[in-house]
Amino acid sequence: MDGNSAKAIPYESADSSGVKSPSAVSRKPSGDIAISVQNVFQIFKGHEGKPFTAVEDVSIDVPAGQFLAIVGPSGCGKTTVLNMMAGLVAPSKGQVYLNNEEVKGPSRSMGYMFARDALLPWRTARDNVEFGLELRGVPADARRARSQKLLKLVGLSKFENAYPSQLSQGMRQRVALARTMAIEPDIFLLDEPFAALDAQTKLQLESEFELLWQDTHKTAVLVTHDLDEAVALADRILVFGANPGRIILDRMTNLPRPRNVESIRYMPEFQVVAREIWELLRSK
Amino acid sequence: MVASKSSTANRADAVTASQAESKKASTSLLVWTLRLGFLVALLAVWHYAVQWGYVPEFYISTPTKTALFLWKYIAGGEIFVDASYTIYETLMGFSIGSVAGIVSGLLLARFTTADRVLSPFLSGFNALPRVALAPLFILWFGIGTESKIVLAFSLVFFITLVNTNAGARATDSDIMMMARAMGATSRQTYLKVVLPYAIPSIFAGLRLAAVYALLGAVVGEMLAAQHGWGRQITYYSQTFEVAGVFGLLVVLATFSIGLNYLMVLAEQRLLRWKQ
Ligand SMILES: Nc1ncnc2c1ncn2[C@@H]1O[C@H](COP(=O)(O)OP(=O)(O)OP(=O)(O)O)[C@@H](O)[C@H]1O
Ligand SMILES: [Mg+2]
Repeated sequence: MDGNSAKAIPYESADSSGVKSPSAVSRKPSGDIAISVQNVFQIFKGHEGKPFTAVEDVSIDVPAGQFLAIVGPSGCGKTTVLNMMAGLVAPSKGQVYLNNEEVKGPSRSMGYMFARDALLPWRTARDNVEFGLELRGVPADARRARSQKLLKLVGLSKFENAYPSQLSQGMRQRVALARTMAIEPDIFLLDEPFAALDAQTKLQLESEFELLWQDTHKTAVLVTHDLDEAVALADRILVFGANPGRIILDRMTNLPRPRNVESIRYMPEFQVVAREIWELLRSK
Repeated sequence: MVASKSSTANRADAVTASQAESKKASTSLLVWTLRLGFLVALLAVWHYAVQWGYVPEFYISTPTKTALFLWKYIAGGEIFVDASYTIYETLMGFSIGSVAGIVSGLLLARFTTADRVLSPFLSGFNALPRVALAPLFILWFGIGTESKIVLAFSLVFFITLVNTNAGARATDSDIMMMARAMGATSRQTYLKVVLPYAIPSIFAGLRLAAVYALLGAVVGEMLAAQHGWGRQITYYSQTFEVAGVFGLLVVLATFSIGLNYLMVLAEQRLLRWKQ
């Protein structure tokens, strides 16, 4: 991570008309780019029948090992962009590359997590954590070892045999986090993973995630409404604007690592970054 | 300090829990007493309605005569002969029908083209009151047990098919998306997500189907048969022995409740996660 990863991204060009944008000139990303989104559009069928441009000409390069956060008002296309990175939704126009390969569908090297825990209600916490490993054909004893280790890390060892209905929202979200970590993805794609939690649990899970992430330094993209969360966790922040969804700010935070998610909020540098983004968001 | 506080809290919890438990026990005792009282009152109304001449005995018999009939029917062993027919037909219709219904429901949920082609036909058959087919089944399969099994099958099959199919389509969209993002193949998604998700709905169908299997067997017997509870009901009605009809209704209700109870037990075992 050399700080200048914010390469020239032609997002302002979209302001003209967007239709004749240079999305045809696609290039394969170079070696150390983990995620490359190139001139991507997403056009949905709107509710009145006319096409609705949710994402307009967005390009993002995420170097391997970078922690990127995406913030912006509701409905500005953050989830849509993340889903295109994840291969869950195909772009209407443009390309997405994960580890230099064009995304055609969900990849097994990616770990996706969203605000709803989506646990399988008939599986115990442990069996939920093992779900991804099971899909990958990991043998039972190896699965068991890994799920136990992860449940311990998220502080749920005692609940390994509990069903989701017996767990609190925060505990369920931890199980979901452990399930995402279990498959040891190269790339984390997180869509408001801590949004459903109270402030305290949220902080706790953020710290847990930060600790787990610091061990491995995998590429991560975090979509969040929580500006403090974005600045506390990420190396780089993208601010999206709405109607149509596009990038309006791309900024490295340059805050030190390793960091403590809790105390970093009191650093003056943190405040500077947070205020700058907050003011930009408010002016829109 | 903290420890003592928490232990007090625990004790307080324990006290309220045991209080709640004994309260629950006493409520259910009360409920049972009231139920018994209600039954006695019902029997008394029945008894005195005849005794005091409000309703002729010819129409509704009496509790005593019905009990007497039941006693003779059971002690004489006649019940077991009829039971062997009706239960056999019910269970055959139920098991073949539900296996076929569940398998078809799952296949249709998996292969959407087949589903789209067949769905108008299935709705058509389903809308048809299939009991109306009973005379045809008797014409085709004779007055033996086969026609009753086929009738029970035709009822059970559609009920389980519809419930299974609905359950297999209702998978939570968040969970489906999670499975896709986790890299599940369509086969894995089906086996590890769709199928388990459908199980509660399959069970709801099975419980309903068990009752309908019995209905199919009994209606078939009432139309044309030599044995079985349904056949006996027709016989006693035609010979104006209302005590016999009532006695058989009690037998049928008891069996039906027992069948339902077994289904509930099986469901509880399999769906322990669903508190
Ligand atoms: N499947 C869809 N069909 C039609 N429109 C859609 C679809 N998915 C999203 N949209 C629209 O695209 C826009 C962007 O949606 P998206 O979910 O990406 O927003 P978001 O930035 O994640 O918002 P939030 O912060 O509220 O989660 C919204 O206006 C939404 O109405
Ligand atoms: Mg969103």
